[in-house]
Amino acid sequence: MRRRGLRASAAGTRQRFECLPETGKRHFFTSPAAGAVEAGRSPRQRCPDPWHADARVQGRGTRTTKAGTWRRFRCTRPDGSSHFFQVLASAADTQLTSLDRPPGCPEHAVSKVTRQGVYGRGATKRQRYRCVPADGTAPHTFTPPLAREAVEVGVESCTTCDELLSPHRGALTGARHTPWTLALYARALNELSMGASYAAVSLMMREYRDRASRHLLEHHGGGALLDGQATGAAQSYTAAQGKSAWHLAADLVEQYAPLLWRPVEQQMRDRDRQQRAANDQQLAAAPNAALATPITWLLDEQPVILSGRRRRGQQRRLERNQWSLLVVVEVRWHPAEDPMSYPRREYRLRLARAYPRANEQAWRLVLDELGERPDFIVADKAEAISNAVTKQYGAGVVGLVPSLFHIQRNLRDALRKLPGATTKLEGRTVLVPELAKHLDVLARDELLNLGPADWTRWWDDLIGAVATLPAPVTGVLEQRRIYEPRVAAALPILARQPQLPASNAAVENRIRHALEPFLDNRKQLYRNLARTNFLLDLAVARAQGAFTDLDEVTRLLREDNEAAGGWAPAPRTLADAQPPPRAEGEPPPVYSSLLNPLLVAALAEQRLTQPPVRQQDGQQGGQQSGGRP
Amino acid sequence: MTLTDAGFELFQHLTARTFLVLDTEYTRDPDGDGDRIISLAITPVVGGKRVRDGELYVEMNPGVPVDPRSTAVHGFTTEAVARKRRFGYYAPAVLDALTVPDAVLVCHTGSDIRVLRRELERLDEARATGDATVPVGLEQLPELPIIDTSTLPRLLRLPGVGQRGVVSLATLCQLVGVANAEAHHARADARATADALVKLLLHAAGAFAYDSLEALLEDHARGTTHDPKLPGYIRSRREAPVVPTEHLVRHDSPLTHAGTPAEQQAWLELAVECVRLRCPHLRTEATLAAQENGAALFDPLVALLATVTEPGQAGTLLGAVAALITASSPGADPPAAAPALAHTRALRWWSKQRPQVEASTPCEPSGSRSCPDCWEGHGCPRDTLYQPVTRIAVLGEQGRLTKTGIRDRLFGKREDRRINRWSPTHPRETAYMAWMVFTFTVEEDRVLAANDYLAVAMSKGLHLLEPRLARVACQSIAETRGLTAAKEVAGTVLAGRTTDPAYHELELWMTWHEQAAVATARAQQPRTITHRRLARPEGRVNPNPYLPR
Repeated sequence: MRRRGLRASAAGTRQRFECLPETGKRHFFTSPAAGAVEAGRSPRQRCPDPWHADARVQGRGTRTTKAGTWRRFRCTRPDGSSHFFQVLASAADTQLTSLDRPPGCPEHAVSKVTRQGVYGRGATKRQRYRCVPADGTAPHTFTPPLAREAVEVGVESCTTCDELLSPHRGALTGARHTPWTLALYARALNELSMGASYAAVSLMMREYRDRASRHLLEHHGGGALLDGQATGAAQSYTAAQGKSAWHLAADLVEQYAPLLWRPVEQQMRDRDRQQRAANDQQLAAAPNAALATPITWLLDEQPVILSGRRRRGQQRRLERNQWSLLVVVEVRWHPAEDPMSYPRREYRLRLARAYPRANEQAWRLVLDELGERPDFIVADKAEAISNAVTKQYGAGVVGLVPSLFHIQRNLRDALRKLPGATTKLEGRTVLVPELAKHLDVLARDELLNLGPADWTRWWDDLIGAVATLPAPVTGVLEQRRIYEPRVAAALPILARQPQLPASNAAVENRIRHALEPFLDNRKQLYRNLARTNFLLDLAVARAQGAFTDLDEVTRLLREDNEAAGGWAPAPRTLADAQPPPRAEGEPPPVYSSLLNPLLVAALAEQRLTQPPVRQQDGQQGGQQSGGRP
Repeated sequence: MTLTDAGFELFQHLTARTFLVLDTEYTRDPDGDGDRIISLAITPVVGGKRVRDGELYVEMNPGVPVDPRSTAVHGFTTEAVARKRRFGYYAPAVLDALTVPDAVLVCHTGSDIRVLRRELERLDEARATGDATVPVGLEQLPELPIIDTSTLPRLLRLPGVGQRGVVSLATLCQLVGVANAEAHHARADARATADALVKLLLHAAGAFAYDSLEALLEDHARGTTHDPKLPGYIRSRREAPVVPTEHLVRHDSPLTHAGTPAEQQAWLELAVECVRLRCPHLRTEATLAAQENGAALFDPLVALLATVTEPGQAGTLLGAVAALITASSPGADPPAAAPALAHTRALRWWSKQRPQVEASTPCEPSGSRSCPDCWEGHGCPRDTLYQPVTRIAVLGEQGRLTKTGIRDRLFGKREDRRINRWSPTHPRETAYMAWMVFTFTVEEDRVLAANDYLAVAMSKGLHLLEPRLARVACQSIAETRGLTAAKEVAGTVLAGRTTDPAYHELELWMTWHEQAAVATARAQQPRTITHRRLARPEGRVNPNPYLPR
């Protein structure tokens, strides 16, 4: 007679014996194994930690959570140390079954799917499955396009996180050949959209890379089944390099910003198109009527001046470079609470673009990208904007409102430089009363009381006051040349559309709040035009609500990657092509598309092929607003 | 630890073969039929690194209730293993994991291979009784040499091991700085053993203890998987000469003062007994006595050479003679009262004694019938005694080399220079002198002059007689005429090999350079990646919208 294995049965573990009689047929029989639990008694609860087999376990009541009812136990080791653990006695409704469902086989609709080991290691340890098709074809192993982390730890409860740990419930990986999960991708993109730096997000990604593995290792006693060394990044040269790799986050921007930007842009364009159609219809019916919800954009630009190192052979001490941030903020109209009030304005980022220069061509590229024609544009005195608007939509088609705030500020600054134009008032330098009273008129309500002749007279009076100081009037004449026609053209618009904003303070506000985090301490580091604009797309998408629900972001990434068999878009395809190296001793040449001013002209020539919109039969907002050609 | 380039090459050489680290957790069979495996792990070490590709870890049903004492160790209970499969199910996979060409099996203590062999034997027994479900058995176990990491540290003289012949895995991990957070888990233990093995081989490479893995395996002598040797104390320790305690107590009062004739006579009697017993302390006794009594003891001690007949005794005696010469030489620290052998008569004395030394009984290659220097690997004094003799003859009365002294006495074209005068009658001593001069000149940063001296020595063929000079010459030849020419010179020198460890170093030097050449050639070969990779789908790219045409 000899032992032939242990058998687990409902009556407890039994020892199987093989009897080899000298005469007769050999046969098997079983008997209760030594130390096995007797039948009929509830099995003694063991500590889920496999290393606590020698511990004494005592019941310590029950507790109920959303997951179900848990039985609590206290595990006391022979050395006196103890801890509590709990097991799920009864799950609440469908949670258990829904979590235990394995993924479907992509090739066989009807099949039995079971787990079949894991692959990968450390943070990239993933669950593999086996499919036994119902049609009788050969079984095979498979992994879903987006694999899941392996979470099998031998216990069904987590004493720390109070959640069921189904083996099919590991976090979905972001894409093939990546150690990060989808949720981490969404989180990283969310932080990038708020202006977090590439380096900070990359470090965060590295830190959270194997969080699941570490959690299982530390809180589930899964050391027996998990890799003992999956506790962080490997200590290697490559790992050390990776710690400073801002490209982890930069690659995410390159791979997924277009994906997130596409639906946002489509949504904005659809809304603009509908609004454009409605407004055009309204103008066709009544050309001089005021629009309740005009498409209104506020434009501004933020120059970024860089001082770099002096290059060999250059006379100037420092190499100076610049690029510009071109920002468009849209006005969303909300109905007023009572019929006597104006509609309420809400400002949202509409588009942000980085271009080497903020010239007319760059603004035309921005306007071209916006798509629909607006009714009104509010901007400061920049000639580039007004020229671009004129060339893009035609002269007088779009009502151009100069920012009154900028007019007053610039005029005041110009006057304060004049001799005898200022006086001391309570220790502050202010304009003399004769000039100050003129500037007090430069408010929206006061201006609306002026007619074109009054406006011209206002300038005459101002110049006369400056001349009697006495002070040179050249500067004031220059300001008059700029602002007088613009304000004169805008006055009828502001009179007809009292809900319109009269300054572009909102766009500066949006720049300060939404875009300055992108520039703080690192504006000199941007070099790649495409990637920078992809990053700004994330900021705009955030302003448009794309990151309100991170699950939606995760869903987008997942669907896009799963449609491509789990593959993410190829990274690092936006990199600027660098020129060949120079001779020995010369500094290496570097090409940065964001600092190449010729690129704006090239892009404009490439994209802006269609002729500008021509003025048509007085149906556009510009004509009804009385804009000057 | 940090390795020199040569040490790293040796490490690569030692780790050229694949190591398969085996660890098991098992329980006692209640019927007394050996032990039964519960979990088994095999971790490969490839190219000096532990890899996870090819790693195997299986848990199985031992077929018997798990002993509570075993449970207390590894945590497996009877219920926990009841639903698992038996060893027979995993046996093909285990044997498959062990079937790696030219591999070496590594385990900590021999119990793992013993348990594995017993399980395979059970499969054979079951098949013999008609159970044909498992097609494999002990015959399918590949024959691999075994390394036992419990005894390897002592063999390699790992610091901290001390006199322990067998080291536990926990202690070994502590000594070499390997973390094993889950002791008594088969996979964790296998990984820890693999890491410790790499550290041990690093130590072996850094210490230049063995020039090849085969030499290490030969000394280690753990047998193969087909014929494993039980763990125990390492052979060299067992076979060391055993000196009785009665003799050891006679070493308690060394002759550190100018002894009376009676004391000197007593010292000589002690030396006779030491020579008989091949005592390793005679050399120390001679060193201490040489400061005040070197001249008086030298000739009587040399006269004992005619009396020794057994292997190892001549080496022991000549070791003491060498110690007397060295410790009483003019440049010794502390300075001696009088030299045991005056530099003026050193070569003449050596000419007279050399035939007798060469005629003395040599030591046995290993074991207890060898002298302490042979046992320690320092080279038998029978083969190395010419070195202290030549050294005092070269250094002269001052006990040191000088630039002027070399020019006026040693090197030059005149007939009275020693390189010309010694060459016909004392070629080996001349070669050793040339090496001393070369080393001295290099230490003074006069590399050009050193090369000139080396060229003169090589023109006289001295580099073929002295392994140290040969190594320097081979380096020069390899740089100028290529490795093949250097190899020929080294082969010629090694043909006259003695127990002098310099020959061993010369051989190592050749091995490193050969291996470096192979490694360089291998690195320069274009790599062919045969692994099939899934490719990213076409068009899965976000185009750059700001790229002008």
